[in-house]
Amino acid sequence: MDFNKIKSIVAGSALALPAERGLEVAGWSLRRTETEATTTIRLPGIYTTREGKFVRQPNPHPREVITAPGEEVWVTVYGRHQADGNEYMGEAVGQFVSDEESAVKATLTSLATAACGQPNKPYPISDPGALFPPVEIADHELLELSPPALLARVQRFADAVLTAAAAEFGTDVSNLEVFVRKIRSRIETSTGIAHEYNSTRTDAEVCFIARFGDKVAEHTARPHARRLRDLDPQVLVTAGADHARGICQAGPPPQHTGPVVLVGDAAHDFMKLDYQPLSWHCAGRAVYEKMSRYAKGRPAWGDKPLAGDALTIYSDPLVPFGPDSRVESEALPARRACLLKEGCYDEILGGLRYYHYLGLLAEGAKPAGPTGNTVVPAGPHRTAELLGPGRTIIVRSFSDFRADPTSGDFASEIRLGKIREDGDERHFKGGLLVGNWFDSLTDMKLSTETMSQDGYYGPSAIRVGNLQIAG
Amino acid sequence: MSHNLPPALETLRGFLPELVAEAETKAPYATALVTQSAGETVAKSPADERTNPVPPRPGIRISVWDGATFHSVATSRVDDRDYLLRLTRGLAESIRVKQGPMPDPGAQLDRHFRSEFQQDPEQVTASQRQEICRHAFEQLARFDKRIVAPRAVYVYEREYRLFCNRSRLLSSDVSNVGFYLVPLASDGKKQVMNFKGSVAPGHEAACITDEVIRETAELAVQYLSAEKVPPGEYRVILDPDITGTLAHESFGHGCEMDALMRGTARAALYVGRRVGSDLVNIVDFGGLPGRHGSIFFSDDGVLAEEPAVLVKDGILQPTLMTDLYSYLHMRDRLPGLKLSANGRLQDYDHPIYARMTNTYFLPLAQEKGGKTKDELIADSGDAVLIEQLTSGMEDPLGWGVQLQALRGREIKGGKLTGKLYYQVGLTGYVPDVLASIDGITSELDVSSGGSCGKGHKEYVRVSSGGPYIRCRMKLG
Repeated sequence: MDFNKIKSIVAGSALALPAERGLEVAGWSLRRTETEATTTIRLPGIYTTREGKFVRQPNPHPREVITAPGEEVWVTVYGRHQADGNEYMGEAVGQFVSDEESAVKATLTSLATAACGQPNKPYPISDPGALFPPVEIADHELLELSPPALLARVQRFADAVLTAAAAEFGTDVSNLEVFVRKIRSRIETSTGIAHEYNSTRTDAEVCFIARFGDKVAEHTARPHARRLRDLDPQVLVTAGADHARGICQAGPPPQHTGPVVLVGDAAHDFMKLDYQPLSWHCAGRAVYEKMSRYAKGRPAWGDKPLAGDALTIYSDPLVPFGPDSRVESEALPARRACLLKEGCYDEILGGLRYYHYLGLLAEGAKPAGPTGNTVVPAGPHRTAELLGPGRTIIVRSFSDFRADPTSGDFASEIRLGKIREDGDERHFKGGLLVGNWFDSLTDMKLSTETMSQDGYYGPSAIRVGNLQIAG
Repeated sequence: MSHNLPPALETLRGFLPELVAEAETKAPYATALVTQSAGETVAKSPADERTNPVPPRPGIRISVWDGATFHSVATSRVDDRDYLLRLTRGLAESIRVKQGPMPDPGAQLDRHFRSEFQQDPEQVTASQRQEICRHAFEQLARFDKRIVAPRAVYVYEREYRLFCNRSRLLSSDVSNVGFYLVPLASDGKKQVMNFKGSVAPGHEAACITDEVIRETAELAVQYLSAEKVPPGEYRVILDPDITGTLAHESFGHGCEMDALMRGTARAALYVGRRVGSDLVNIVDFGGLPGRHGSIFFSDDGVLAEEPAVLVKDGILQPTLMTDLYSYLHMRDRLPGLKLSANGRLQDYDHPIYARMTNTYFLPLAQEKGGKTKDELIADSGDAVLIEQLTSGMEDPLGWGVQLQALRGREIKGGKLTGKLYYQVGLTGYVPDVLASIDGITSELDVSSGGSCGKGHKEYVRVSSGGPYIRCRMKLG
């Protein structure tokens, strides 16, 4: 599709629409993404069963290889209308599937009609003076590769994972999927913004199976990175195989009430803004609609006394090569926002609309946009101290951790845990870790040691004093 | 011949055989698959009313088989014939054909399918959808001042699919309407949320009564004073959606052939063996008309005509859900294996895997001991009635299962006490849970709407259901 042709039709038609249809278009933004995607799926062994046991035969060929060249052009149309003496505003988003003038105009008319029928309070649209941050989100090595060379690079990575896995004791990789995308984005708006940038994304899914006698267990690692080279095959395999072996050898869960130490994957899941309730309560929309617990400067845990470290959490889209880093969102420059400052609510997530509704623009605040990477400053405690003497319950991973966004309650199945007692350790699996995320903040101790994993940058061990395990 | 397709897709339908023929000048087997979805979403919340027409998003995927591997190209540029022919030629020329199993393209067939609905969603205007959302929003808001943020959402999706190989040219026109009510309640200290969804192929999904809206609001307010269930093992009665999700997560994923062939389905070791009480019957059937997970044919071009019976009278069956790749590699290893209508992909540029469609427990006829819901409660002594699924997660190798529900209702001495538990997590070891099933109702309800991923990706539309069942699970 000819983007410039579409832009020219949009710019001309948007202004002409009011005269033709009685609609007032307040503005528009156009986004083009050109994508080169490569997917490879390996199934290194094919399993059947014989006499009640799995039997594996090698499968040297990939399951599927997909190349996907693509181009998409999306448009947002902002509309205004008046009714009962009040001014209203709305917006509608659509995609162009052709650059033919009649098709572009038909899409615009449909979107303008929808945008002009929405009785929402007016709000500003993109700021023409926006300066976009020079955040690194592209793997320059991948950008330079031709499609066949990109596929060959991805296959080399897959080979390296399988080679590393072959050296692991008692563990196979049963499925390996690698997705690499190169994306060139261009954003243009009626307010005069024109910005273009590159990004890359690598997602992998590696399924490990551990077998010891009759015991068998699976663990799937799902790493994400901007640069393929940030996924180290050896590190990935060592950690994944160890995790699978742990689950395989695990016993039943304990019944427990009291402190639990979350480490590694579990610390990531517990803190990541995607899975816990903080980003919901800090969202401009939730605050404006009075759904949120947010109260600037007030402790997130309410009136209860604090017994641990006061937690600080940033949403940071500017981490170099961070999986959740970005240049912009809806033509708004990305920026770091402190959501929780020493336990107290601080900034609000959101775009121009809710920042305007909440009066934050008038105070000079710049919109924070959606969530970025989760950044938690290191705590004051050595991990060894958090694990402490005596009996300690450690959770290494969850099956699927999700705290309810409104209440903060959670009851998540433990995929792998450890009971540590007098220098001995034994794995367990199963049972539910039960608690409330906000209540957890009252008694939380953070490690000095940190980790970076899939958009989480923070303590690698977190001791929460008031949890329950239903074994 | 007209197939009631949009003009661009009708033209493309006629062109697909040419693409397949071009690919098969080099490749032994080729397919072309086109997907296009469009629709409209209307939403109303306190600060926001939104009407978003979702324009058609087409894409094509051309795949060739080299005897061991599928190679595919996928692109959104469906309107440029020369480009598609060049892509296809390049794809075919890039492969080296190997000795290996070859797909059977099936009997000659040229058919078009269309969803049946009671009220054509295409005839409903954006302003009518807005009015429905505004009315529900106002009813929710008016119910109680503690309902701080009601939300009503109308989602209409029209999905077209075209499939072509050298024998088959299939197309379908599937519509789905979802109407969702989400009241959030707050007493100033605690926030809670209720959820009510209604899905159907037509506008009938949005025709719900004010009584239903009020009940949805009332539950949200009741959640404010609900308790957390004390963690432990309980006798539970699961509603049909949760029952179906238990089926989906327990043996559904474990009977997907790609899970078996990668060694992650323990079910493979239990074919022909008892995995539950003799009340347990689980099937998956995409051809069940008008459900959220219904399809007319799979993305491998297999018609959805036969249910896959996964568990019969508590015995795990050798019927497995297959996609074409897993079928080709496993048919010689598992004599009698069939290619089922379960090969599905999330989007045109994603891989095809063996996926579920509508997965459900079969009810128990009254003459065989099937009860009504009230009889089951009355017969249960002390238990918890679990309602309104929010999520489920499978573990087909470890046979763990994790379900999340919005509420539990306490039952004491066979009677509902009125005590409500808000947000209940359920887990258990699948064979223990299924073996503990000792009560089941006689009506089938497969009316839920949702999506299912392979792990955390590759989402496809599915439904789940069944009767109410009684079993034992851990709650927290």
